[in-house]
Amino acid sequence: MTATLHGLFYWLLRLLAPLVWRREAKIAAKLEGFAATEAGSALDMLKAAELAHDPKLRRLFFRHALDEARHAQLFRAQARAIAASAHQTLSSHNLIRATRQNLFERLGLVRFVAFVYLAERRGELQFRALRAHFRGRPELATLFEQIAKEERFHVSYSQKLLERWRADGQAAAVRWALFQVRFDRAREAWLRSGRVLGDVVSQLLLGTIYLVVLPLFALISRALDPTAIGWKRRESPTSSIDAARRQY
Amino acid sequence: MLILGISAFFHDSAAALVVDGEVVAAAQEERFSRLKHDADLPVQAARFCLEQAGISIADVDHVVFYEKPLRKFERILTTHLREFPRSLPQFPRSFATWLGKRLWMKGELCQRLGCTPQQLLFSEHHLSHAASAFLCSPFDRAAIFTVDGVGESATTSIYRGSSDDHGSQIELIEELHFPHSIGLLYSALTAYLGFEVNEGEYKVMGLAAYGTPCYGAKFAELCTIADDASLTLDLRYFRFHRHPTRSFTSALETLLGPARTPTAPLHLPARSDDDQRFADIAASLQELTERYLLRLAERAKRLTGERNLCLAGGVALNCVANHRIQSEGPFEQLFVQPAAGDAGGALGAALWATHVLHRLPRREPLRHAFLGAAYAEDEIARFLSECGVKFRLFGDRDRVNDEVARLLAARQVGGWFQGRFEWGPRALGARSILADPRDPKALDRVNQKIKFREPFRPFAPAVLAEEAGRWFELPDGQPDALTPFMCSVVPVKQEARAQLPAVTHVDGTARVQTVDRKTNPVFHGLVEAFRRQTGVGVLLNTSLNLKDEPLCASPAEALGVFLRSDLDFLVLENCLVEKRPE
Repeated sequence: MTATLHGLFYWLLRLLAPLVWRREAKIAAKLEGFAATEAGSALDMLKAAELAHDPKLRRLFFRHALDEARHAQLFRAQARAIAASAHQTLSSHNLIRATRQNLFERLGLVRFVAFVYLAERRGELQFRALRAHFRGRPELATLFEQIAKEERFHVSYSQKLLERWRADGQAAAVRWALFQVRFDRAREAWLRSGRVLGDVVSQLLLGTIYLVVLPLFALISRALDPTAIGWKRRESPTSSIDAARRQY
Repeated sequence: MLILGISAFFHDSAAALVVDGEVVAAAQEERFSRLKHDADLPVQAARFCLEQAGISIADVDHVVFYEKPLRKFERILTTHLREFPRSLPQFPRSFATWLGKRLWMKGELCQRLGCTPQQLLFSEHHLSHAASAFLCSPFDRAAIFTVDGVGESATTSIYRGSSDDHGSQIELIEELHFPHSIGLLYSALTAYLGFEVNEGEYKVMGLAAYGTPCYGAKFAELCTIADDASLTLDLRYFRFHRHPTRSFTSALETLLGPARTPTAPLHLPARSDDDQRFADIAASLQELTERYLLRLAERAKRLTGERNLCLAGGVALNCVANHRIQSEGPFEQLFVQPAAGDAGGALGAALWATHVLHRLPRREPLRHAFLGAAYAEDEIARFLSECGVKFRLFGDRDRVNDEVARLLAARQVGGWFQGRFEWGPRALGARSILADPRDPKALDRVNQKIKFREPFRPFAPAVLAEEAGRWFELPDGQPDALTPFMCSVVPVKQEARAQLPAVTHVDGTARVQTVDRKTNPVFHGLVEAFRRQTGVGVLLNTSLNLKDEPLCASPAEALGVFLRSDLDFLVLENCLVEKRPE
């Protein structure tokens, strides 16, 4: 079942690749996006290495962090090269705006490793699909091949950790962690779409209020309180606790 | 008396804990969240401050927010009304934010910080800035002026501060109101020059040195500075008050020429007319800012009659202007708190509640900025060895200093991680990247291969306090209250410029940090070791981070910077990690 789903996902990626990766500028931008994701992931793995207690885990997480940092640099370098050849300019000397999500602290060890396993598996699949898509462009095919290979190592070590915990009598915890990560991912996608929809609705609603309700008050405001120019004097801010409790 | 100050929801959110008048801990949220200029409620920074003091939020007497949110809301609403219908693009966005979160500030603070409504107090934005400067300063009495983009409605304020054994007073004298703001003018021109607002202002300062202030007449159209130091912007050129993303109008481009797009290359010394035009505009803006602040200083002197001046707000981070106020202004001494921007509001709010509301007498002035988190050496050594990183552990500090000085003198560039991290935007020797200031290639190497930032940006020198007069033209020939916090730019002595090429900017100046043996002993030891080996008690000192990332807080983050950049070595307490070819 899982293998079938993977196969479907792989072919979906292959199918969409020509649409998504069609122009040089777009390719450069997408690679830069990958670079940011990998750099963010490097920061999260570093944090995990910092917080983990088990030396073996520390070492694995640290190596993973180094890989992700290197991926970020490889993606970035390729993005620059493509942008330059397409006469596009990526931001000058701009490295990568990375975002750490504090996953280790938020999720705890088992769920964190489950997250790493699922995310890396998806990443490996994606890079494999892109390697196939770019087989006519050796510089990109090699890049994706190299990164997919390292992602396979990340999938492998995280899978082994989960299997070890399963064998150590934590099968239910591992199952639950994998379920939670999948559920969170679906939930986040749902919330994201909800936020987008909510934003649109609220913008429309507030825009309507602005056009319908505000004009009269705008006239009054302009008449009563013209824009202040020059120095103003007012009473010194009061130094009583009661006044300090107020938000105005 | 335990007071926790909080600043948040604009940019650079922060928390600061003051215990019986002593600043125990202070940190920006970005150091923990790793999001540069993080504006979210500083939950992690607050947690750190409480842990540092070994207390819980329930033990705190007051949690003080740095401004009055409803007064700010009133200003925003009034602006939308006055600008109707042109404020339509901004209205839905800003109101969605306010209705969704900020109007319910008390609930938000209580829920996320775990405090009760009874613990909560609200200061005022500029009052918090003023308190952060005056109550950290070495002065019992001083004039204070605060200058930034905008607070609740004030953009520039003049106060008088005084302290005695029965507490302190901060008296508001007068203020200028939104939208007339030198801070917003600087921000709008920062955006015009293609840099990010609240981030690129430093770049404009660096760029200014490459230009000549020949746009004075055109800038006179943008704003009027009256004899009484009041400033009026011509709003035909700006739209920061009614547009969510673009802060200037096409009229500004008609006046000054097309704006620079953020991705356009900028070569300095100039290779094109546009490069030179942008540098000249930056120089003109800088000149106007300095002239305005000098006039403001004169007015503050006239109104207060005080001998000393404290300066706060984002504009107080303009180190070039600070030096001119110090050397040409009417005050004897000037003090700028290291986190003069919005982050400093958290510290100011906490100090205001302590000394003004509760009238506790003041204690020692702020002598150093090492108020962040520290990591024990054994913890670091264990982390490195468990991660499989090869390192050398030195038995004592002197040996580390000698070895690091040797590496630096051999023209290597290294990271330096010691003790508690700094409060404020500057690296002052706790989380630094260091290099040999005599190395003419160091500037380009650090800019391009390590920090990945614009090549025209200068680096600061850290100099032994006792040797500062040998290299730099300090106002009285000695370190003042600004130099320990890297808050002023001074000329490098003519004869020293050739010796310190990596830290001498194109206009012959440097943003100097004086390193004092008493207040910064660890870093002093290193610079002293470098002096013993080379005869030069100066190091190139820049922050331990990569472009667009906050300063490192933890050893793992420092290691991350080391591994992702071209740094040759990294020192974590007494552990030395080196990058070797294999």
